[in-house]
Amino acid sequence: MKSAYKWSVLALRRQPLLPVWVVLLLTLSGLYSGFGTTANFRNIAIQASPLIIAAVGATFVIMTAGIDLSVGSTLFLAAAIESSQALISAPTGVVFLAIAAAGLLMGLLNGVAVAMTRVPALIVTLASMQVFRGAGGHITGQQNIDLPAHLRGIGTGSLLGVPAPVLLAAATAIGGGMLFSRTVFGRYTQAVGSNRAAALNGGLPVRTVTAGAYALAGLLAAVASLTQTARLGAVQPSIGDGYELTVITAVVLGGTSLFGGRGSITGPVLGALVLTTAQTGLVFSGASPYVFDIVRGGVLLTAVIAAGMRWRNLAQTLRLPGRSSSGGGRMISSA
Amino acid sequence: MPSTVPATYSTKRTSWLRDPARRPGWFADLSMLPALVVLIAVLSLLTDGLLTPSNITNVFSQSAVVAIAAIGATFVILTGGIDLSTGGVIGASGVAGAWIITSTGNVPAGVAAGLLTGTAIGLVVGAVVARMPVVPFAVTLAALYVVSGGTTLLSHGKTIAPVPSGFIGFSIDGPGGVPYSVWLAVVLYAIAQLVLTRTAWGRRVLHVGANVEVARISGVSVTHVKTSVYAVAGLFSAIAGIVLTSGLAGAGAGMGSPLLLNIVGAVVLGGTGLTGGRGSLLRTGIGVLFLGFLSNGMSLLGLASFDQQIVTGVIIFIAASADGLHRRLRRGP
Repeated sequence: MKSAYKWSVLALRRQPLLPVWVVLLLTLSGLYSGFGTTANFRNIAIQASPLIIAAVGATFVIMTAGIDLSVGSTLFLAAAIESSQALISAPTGVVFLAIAAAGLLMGLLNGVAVAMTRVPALIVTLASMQVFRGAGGHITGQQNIDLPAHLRGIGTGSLLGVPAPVLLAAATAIGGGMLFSRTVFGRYTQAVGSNRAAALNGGLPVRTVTAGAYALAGLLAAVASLTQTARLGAVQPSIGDGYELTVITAVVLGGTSLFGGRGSITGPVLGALVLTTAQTGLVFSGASPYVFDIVRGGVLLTAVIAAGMRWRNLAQTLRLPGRSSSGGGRMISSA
Repeated sequence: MPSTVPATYSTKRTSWLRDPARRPGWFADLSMLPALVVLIAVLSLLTDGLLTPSNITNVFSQSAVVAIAAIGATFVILTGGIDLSTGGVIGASGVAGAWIITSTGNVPAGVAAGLLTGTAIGLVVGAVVARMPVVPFAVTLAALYVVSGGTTLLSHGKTIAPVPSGFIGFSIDGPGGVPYSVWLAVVLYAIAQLVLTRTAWGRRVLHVGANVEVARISGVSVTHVKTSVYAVAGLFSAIAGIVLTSGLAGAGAGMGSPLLLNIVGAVVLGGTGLTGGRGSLLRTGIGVLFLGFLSNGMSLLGLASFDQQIVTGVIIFIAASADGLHRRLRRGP
């Protein structure tokens, strides 16, 4: 009994968002008939998938104390390339690899610019947000382009009853989690974000790690684009508009600090699920889609302020038993 | 008595341009002027009719909205902050103003309502940024969507029109064939430049941007300065929103959003440092003209809007990296 209490408190400390999500799901299921059905939960999981994929990538960038505002435009440009003459009739595997490579290249462009110049990431990605959206518009001619059936399969297909987008999201989350906590690259991103000067003095490849984080974010944004467009069945000029807010909100809601160095991969996954659940709830309530703009803006504002006021202090005032609080990010600076 | 001047020191008078001590303060602010001249020269060779009086008036009147909003953005960036909510505030104050004007017909009341809306939003954003340990871009990004979503909801996604023709005329007629909106922008630049360089508040803004800790230790209320710059940015976004409403003959919630990159880009292009403490309104003015001539020239060349986006984004990035490079060279390796 006591250990169960202790375990749940530890889980709560690590991931305070999980009970929030459960309560949100239960409340909405109680409020709207048809919400608490398997079909709807399946739908939420499918809808959350692109966001989870993009948010995992953005976590690595934010972990280095950077930011990527261009994620929505990367999504659009990747979709535009997918709909181009050269790729639209190519086999699914070729399209997947080509789009992933294109996303990697876009992210690398951001990453090299951030790592090699002294321009703040905010300005680099604000400029590339414009460049990528313009390039996407150039390719599509601002037209709606329908996708052939085999490309829609990335969004509608399933394996052993699990929808393909959910499989992709799960693979990304697990792979991202391994990369984050089990590899040198993951440790280095935390070190760079935690204390860049110390990481430089410690001889870490700060520039390579920074560029790598943006490249990964670009790659995952492109994969997110594949699942998103496959579900919509078409490439529209408005794809990814305002997506940077949703992605950043999911990451911050998951407890990743915008100052860098602190965070997790389970956080953005849960953050994306909470946001998508809230969005689906708004659809069930019949509210105007613009209410979601206000909700995600309000959630980001609340999450940022709450993170600033330090959850740790809140936990201390509530007298929750602690876990040893030596995060991985601090290792380098104290060495 | 032998001279104590070392042999290496030349007593010959150098030109005032080469001597940093005798150069006037505003001279450094003209660093982007050569680039603007080159741009105009290249574009006038490539296109017909760039430098006709009517087209130049056109460039100025099309730049007025961005120019006015960029004044507020300059003050925010000078403190080392950033305001991404500008586009939303432009929409909100334009809609608020147009709503009062169309429903009561009272133009001054509408303008006052618009200005109040913008300043109030700026004040709230500023209070959050200044009083809490948060990143300015996250707060202002959230504010952008809350404000533009709220405005769309309240205006039911519709454009608020029609506004009186006299109000529309503000962006069309004016003394000397130049619209009132351009004259307004010029006067606001003059005032803002004087406020920045000649008032205690202006010096505090630069002081906070140059070094927050030193500013705090020397008795500057950093909280007040930060709050006030965002409120000022809200006010200038509101003025820009009213001018844009007059130019478009109506107001919609989303009308300001596409301007964000041009507003921040104009400040960056002029050479105002994004880390704060360095810059002026003169620089921003040159940046605004650069972007104005660039977009006008590209339209004359027949470039599609998405191609213009690509060029603008690349040029703003180059300008921003040139600023970093310049500082690195000046500081030495």
